[in-house]
Amino acid sequence: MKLMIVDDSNIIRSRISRIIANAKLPPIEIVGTASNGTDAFALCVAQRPDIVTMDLTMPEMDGVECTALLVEFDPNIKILIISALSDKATAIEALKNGANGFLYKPFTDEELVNALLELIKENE
Amino acid sequence: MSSNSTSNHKQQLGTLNKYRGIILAVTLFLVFNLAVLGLNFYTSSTLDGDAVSINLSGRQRMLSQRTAKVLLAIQVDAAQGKFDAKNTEELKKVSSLFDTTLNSFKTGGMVLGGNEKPVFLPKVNDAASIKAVDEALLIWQPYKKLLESIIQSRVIDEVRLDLATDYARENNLKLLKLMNNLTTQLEQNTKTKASHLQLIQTIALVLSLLLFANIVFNALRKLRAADGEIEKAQRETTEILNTVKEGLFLLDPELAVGSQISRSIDQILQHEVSANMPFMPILQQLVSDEIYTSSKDYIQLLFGNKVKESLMLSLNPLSQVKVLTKDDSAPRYLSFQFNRVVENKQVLHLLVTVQDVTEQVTQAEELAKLKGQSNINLELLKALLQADAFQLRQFLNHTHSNLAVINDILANADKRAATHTDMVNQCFRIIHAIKGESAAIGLQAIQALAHQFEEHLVFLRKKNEWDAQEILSLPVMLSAILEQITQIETITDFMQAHHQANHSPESPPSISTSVANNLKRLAEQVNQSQNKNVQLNLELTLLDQMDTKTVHQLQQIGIQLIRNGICHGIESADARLAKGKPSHGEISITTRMNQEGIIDFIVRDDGQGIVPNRIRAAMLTSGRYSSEIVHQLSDKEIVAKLFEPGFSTSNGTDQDAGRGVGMDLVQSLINEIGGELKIDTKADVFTQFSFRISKHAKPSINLNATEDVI
Repeated sequence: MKLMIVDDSNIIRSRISRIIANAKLPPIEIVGTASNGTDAFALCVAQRPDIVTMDLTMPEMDGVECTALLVEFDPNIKILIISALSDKATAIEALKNGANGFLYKPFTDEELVNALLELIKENE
Repeated sequence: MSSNSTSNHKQQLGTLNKYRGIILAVTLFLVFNLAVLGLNFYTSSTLDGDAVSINLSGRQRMLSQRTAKVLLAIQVDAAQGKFDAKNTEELKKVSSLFDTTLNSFKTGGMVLGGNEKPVFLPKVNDAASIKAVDEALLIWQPYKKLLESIIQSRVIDEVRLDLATDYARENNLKLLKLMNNLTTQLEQNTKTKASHLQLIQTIALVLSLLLFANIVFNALRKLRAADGEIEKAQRETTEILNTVKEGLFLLDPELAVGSQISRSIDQILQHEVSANMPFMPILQQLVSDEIYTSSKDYIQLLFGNKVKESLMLSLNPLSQVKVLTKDDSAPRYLSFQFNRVVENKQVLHLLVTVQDVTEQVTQAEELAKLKGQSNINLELLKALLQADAFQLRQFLNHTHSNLAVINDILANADKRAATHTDMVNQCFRIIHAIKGESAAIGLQAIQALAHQFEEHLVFLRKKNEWDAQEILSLPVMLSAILEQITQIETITDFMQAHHQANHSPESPPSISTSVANNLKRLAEQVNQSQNKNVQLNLELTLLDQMDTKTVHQLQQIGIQLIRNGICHGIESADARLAKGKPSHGEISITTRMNQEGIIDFIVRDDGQGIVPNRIRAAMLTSGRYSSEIVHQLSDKEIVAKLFEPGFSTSNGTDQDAGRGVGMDLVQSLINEIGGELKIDTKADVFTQFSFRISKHAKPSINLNATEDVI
C-alpha cells in the first residue's frame, strides 16, 4: 500500500509519518510528501499512491482543488482530509470532490490510525 | 447482510403463515373441483358406453325380427320352388350380427356399430341384464345352429327349413321380449346412473359453493383484520406524528418530502410543508446562501452513501443554524438532523428531524455571559484582596452617598427640562470621580460601568431633545453600579469579619501609603492603556495629619491630575526624544508645609505644558467651537476654559480621558477644600498645579513662570 502525505506544515508531515511507522497497520510505504497542491499532483502522477492524507489550507493550490484533481486522475485513490478548519462547508466541498474521510486537527495517533484503517478497508 | 437475508426469510415465512388458511382453502377448492370434473368426465364417458349398449340392444330387437322375416321369406320361396341367394346372404349377415352382439353383451367385445364402424360393447353387469342375456343365449344357441345349417347348405333342404321356421315361430317373440327387456333394463341402468351423477354433481356444486363461500368469508375476515391492523398502525403513526415535538419527515433522493410529516413541522419551519413538496426551496428561505449551498452538497453526500454516517454527523452544517426571520422578531435557531434509511446498501430516504433549539442556544449564551460575569467577580475579589480595607470602606461609603445624589438628580430631572444640561454636568462630575477612584483602587468592573454611564451622558449632552427611554436608561445604569457596590460591600464585610476573627490586630498601613499605592496603581493602569511610560514620584506623608475627608478629596484631585498629565501633559516617547528630553516622563505629587503650618499640594509634570494656541487649535479641530469665539478669548480665558464643565478638545474618548470633566472636578474639589489653584506652565517644559489648603477659591494663572516656581 502506497501513501502520500500532503501538508504545508513540516511538523504535521513528520508526525503523520511517525504515527504510521509506529502503528500496527498493514505494510504502508510512504512514497512521498508534498507541501502544496501542485507538488502533490506531480508526485501523485509519478508515484501513483493508493492513499493520500490531504491538508486543506495550503499555498498555490488548496486541498479542495487538489482532491478534485487527484480523483479525476485516479478514481480509485483514497483521500483522507486532515484539516484544522472548523469550517464545515470546506470539508463538505472536499468530500463532494471525492475525498473519502475527514479528520480534524488536532488529532490523536489513534484517530489517524482508525481513519487510515477505514480507507485501507475501502481500498480492498 | 446475513441477518438481513434471515430477516427477509422470516418476513416471507410470516407472510406465508398469514395466508396459509386462504392458500389451503383455495387448494382444497381446486382439488375438489378437479375431482368433480374428473368424475363428470368418467361418468359421461361411461354414459357414452351405455348409449352404445342401449343402441345395440335396441338393434338386437330389430335383428331378431329381421332374422325371422328372412327365414319365412326363404320358406315361401322354397314352397314355390324358387331360391333367392340374396335372402340367404341377408340371413347370414343378420344372424351373425345378432350373434356377435349377444355374445359381446355376455363377455364384452368389438361389434359393428350402427354406422358400420366397429365399436366396443362392454359386457352387461347387472343381474337383470345378465339374466336377460343368458336366457336369450339359451334360446339363441339352438336357433343359431338351425340357421347355420340353412345358410351353409347349397340346396334348399325343406326339412331343415321347416325345423328352423318352427323354432323361429315358437321362440321369435320370446327373443324379442328378452331383447326388449335388455334394452329397457339398460335404459333403466343409465337413468339410475345419470340420476346418481346428477346427485353427485349437485352435492359437488353445493360443496364447492360452500368452499368458495368459506374462502371468501375467510379472506374477507383476514383482509378486514389486516386492514384493521394497518389502520391501527396508521392511526398510531398519525398520533405520533401529531404529538411529537420535533419536525419529522422523510426525504427521497429527489429531495422531495415524504407523505408522513409530523404536525409540528409547519410551526418549526414557519412554512407549510406537505407531501411531495421539494425540500430545498423551503431550506433556501430559511438559511443564508452559504449554508444553503453546503447543505445541498451535504444532503447529496448523504444519499451517496460513500462517507460514513458518523463522519457525516460531525459535518452537518445545519446542526445548529440561525434562521432568517422575516421581520425584526427575535432570532431563532433550528437544528436539522439527517439519518440514512438504508435498505440493501441503498439509501432510500433520509429521516429528517428538525428541532427549534432557540431556547437551548439562548441559554448557552446566557451561561457564557454568566461565566464572563463570574470572571469579573473573580477579578473583583482579587482587587478587593489587594485593596486597603480602610480606603475601600471609605470609597464604598463615599460612592454610596454620591450615587444617592445622582439618583436624586435623576428623580428631579423631568420636572425642569431647561436644566437638563446642568443635570448631566452634575452627574458627570460625580460619575467621573467614581470612575477615577475605582480605577485607583483597582475595581475595574465599577470603572467599566462608570465609563458606560459617562458615555451615555455624553450622548445625552450632544442631543437637544431627549426622549423618555433615553432618560430612563440612566437609572438602570445607576442601579447596575449600585448593585456592584453592594456586592463589594457584602464581600468586604465578610472579609473584614473573617480578617478580624483570624488575625490579631496589626497596625494598618498609613493613610499616605495607601493613597500613594492607589495613585501608583492608577498611573500604572493609565500608562498601560495610553502606551506611555510615565514615572510617578510621590511625597505624601503630610496626608497622615489630615482628616479623612480632605485626604479623600486630595486623592481625587491627584487621580484627575495624574490621568490628565499622562494623557495630555506628557508627550509620546518619540516626541520627547525629539525635544531632547528623556524618553520617559515624570509626574510628581508633593505635600509641603511652610513655616506657618500651611500645607501646599503640588502636582508637577515635565510634559508639553499648557500652550494657549495649542488649545485654540485643538478647539477648532474639535469642531465644537467657532473660530470667532476661539480668537476673541485671551490666553488666560482660553486656559480657564479647561476648567469649564464639558470642555474637551479630544475627538475620541476612552476610559482615561477626553470627557472634559476632569479639570472641572478638580476645580470644584479645590473649592470644597477652600484652596486656591495656581497653574504654572512653560511650553514644552513643565506644568505645575498647586494650591494651599486655605479658604480661597479662584485659580491664579501664571503663563510665563520660571522653572523654579516650587
